[in-house]
Amino acid sequence: MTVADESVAAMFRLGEQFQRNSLQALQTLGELGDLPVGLSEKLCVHREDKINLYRYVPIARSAGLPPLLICYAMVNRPYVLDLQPDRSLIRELLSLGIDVYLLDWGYPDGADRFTGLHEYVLGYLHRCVEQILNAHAAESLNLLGVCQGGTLGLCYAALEPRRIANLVTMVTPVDFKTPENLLSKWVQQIDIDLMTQAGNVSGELLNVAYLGLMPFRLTQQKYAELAGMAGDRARLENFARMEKWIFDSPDQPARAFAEFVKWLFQENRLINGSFELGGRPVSLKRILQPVLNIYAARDHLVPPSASVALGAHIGSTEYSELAVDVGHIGMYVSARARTTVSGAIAHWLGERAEARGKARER
Amino acid sequence: MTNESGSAAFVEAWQTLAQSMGVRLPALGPAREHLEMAQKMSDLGLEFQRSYAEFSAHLSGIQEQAMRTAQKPDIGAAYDEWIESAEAAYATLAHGATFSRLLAEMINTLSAMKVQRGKLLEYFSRQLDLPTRSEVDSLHQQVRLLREQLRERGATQGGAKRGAPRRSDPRRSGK
Repeated sequence: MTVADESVAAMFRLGEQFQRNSLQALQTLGELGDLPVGLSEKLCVHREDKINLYRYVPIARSAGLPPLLICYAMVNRPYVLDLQPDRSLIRELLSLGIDVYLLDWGYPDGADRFTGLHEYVLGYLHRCVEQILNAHAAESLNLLGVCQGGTLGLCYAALEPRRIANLVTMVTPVDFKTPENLLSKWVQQIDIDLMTQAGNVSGELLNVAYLGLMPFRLTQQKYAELAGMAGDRARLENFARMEKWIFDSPDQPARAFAEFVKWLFQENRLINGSFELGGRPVSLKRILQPVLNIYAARDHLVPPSASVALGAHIGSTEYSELAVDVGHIGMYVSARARTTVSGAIAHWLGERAEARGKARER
Repeated sequence: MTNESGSAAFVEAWQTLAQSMGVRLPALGPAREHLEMAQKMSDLGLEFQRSYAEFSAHLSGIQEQAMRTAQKPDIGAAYDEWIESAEAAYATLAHGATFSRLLAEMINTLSAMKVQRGKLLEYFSRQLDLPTRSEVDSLHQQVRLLREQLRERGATQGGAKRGAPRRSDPRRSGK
């Protein structure tokens, strides 16, 4: 047999091995069924239309901090923050003694078609904040806004600054027109009014857009890598949970989606100071409370440049940044990011509470 | 030959003649409204096919470009290298103005098709006395308005007072 023949034979052997491993992995995936997600124990404390406000059951001694409300994005489901017990940012925060609430926007349908962005921020989000403040007899709470939820959180903090003690933003777009922002480039010439005239925007369409950001990695390489997971049930379970989450995308309420895309992506109103919600100006300069801005250094969805713009536009003098060397989704689920982020949030909130206590004593 | 089939043959003859002359006949007569909608839908379908073809053509060189840069002898490494090269070639295109323009053209046409499809469905639903999208929308708007009024009334009557949660915990109360 010549060297060339041996090479060809080796290639065939590798091909067969790849095929066997892939089939084995696919068979295991098929046997896994619907894996449970969002396992940390929680109680629904407020329900209105599609939204649910959850309070998580504590698992550690209280750190004595104001309650932390997590405002997640509307475009994906929030259980990615509590995917499984050993991959849960929420669980990490609970273990540090933080009292965690989560706002879940649910699955909007035709009845939400005409619900505007102001109703989400000044209606639903505001009523959740009020609910928590009432339950704790408190004047203000800590807000953690994640991704699009961070943008909504910034709007709320700018409109109702007294109710937010400290604001944490995570992978949050602020400047929607930085050169690295591919999604933004794509939507500039899209007729959003026409798109939403036909009703809510389907989650499937949004998924196609996300996959289109890195199509070869996300539609080919990711699945080719399954062969390497053959026989490793735990890794395949992780894969299955992520796969479930990635494609579990709620439809977007037509009016709110149109306003978000037009006012922020196309007109960049948050940055140029022309943003209004419910007839009230949303000025980032009104955000005077301490802000911790956490972003992913390798984010392909919300580029770092879109997030770090926040520092230059808020009124607060207490502004900190934390860059984590992960991608957008890695920020929620990678082990390194989870511990770094939860630790940083708890530490930063603790410092702010201490500083506030000292200021009161004076 | 009945009157009906005679007029159909007449219309068909006109259409054939018009087509051969490159003239497009407008929808006429009692069925004008829905024929026009169907015609527009068909035009949009053709427009979508054209924009999709142009968009696909714009992307056609990526795989070839990626293959040219793949060098590694090991299959697995070569595959990963090919993916990286393909992503890099794609990113160059995807950030370009032409890509955004073609994508927008395609999506805008698709949106127009969905709007047109809605109009057709609305028309046929009315014929069958089925609830239409616009009727459901109108009801939603009315419910929203009523809720806003109710909330405003509640707020003025002190329902939004601090310390008085507006709703009980549905799980605890068994609602």
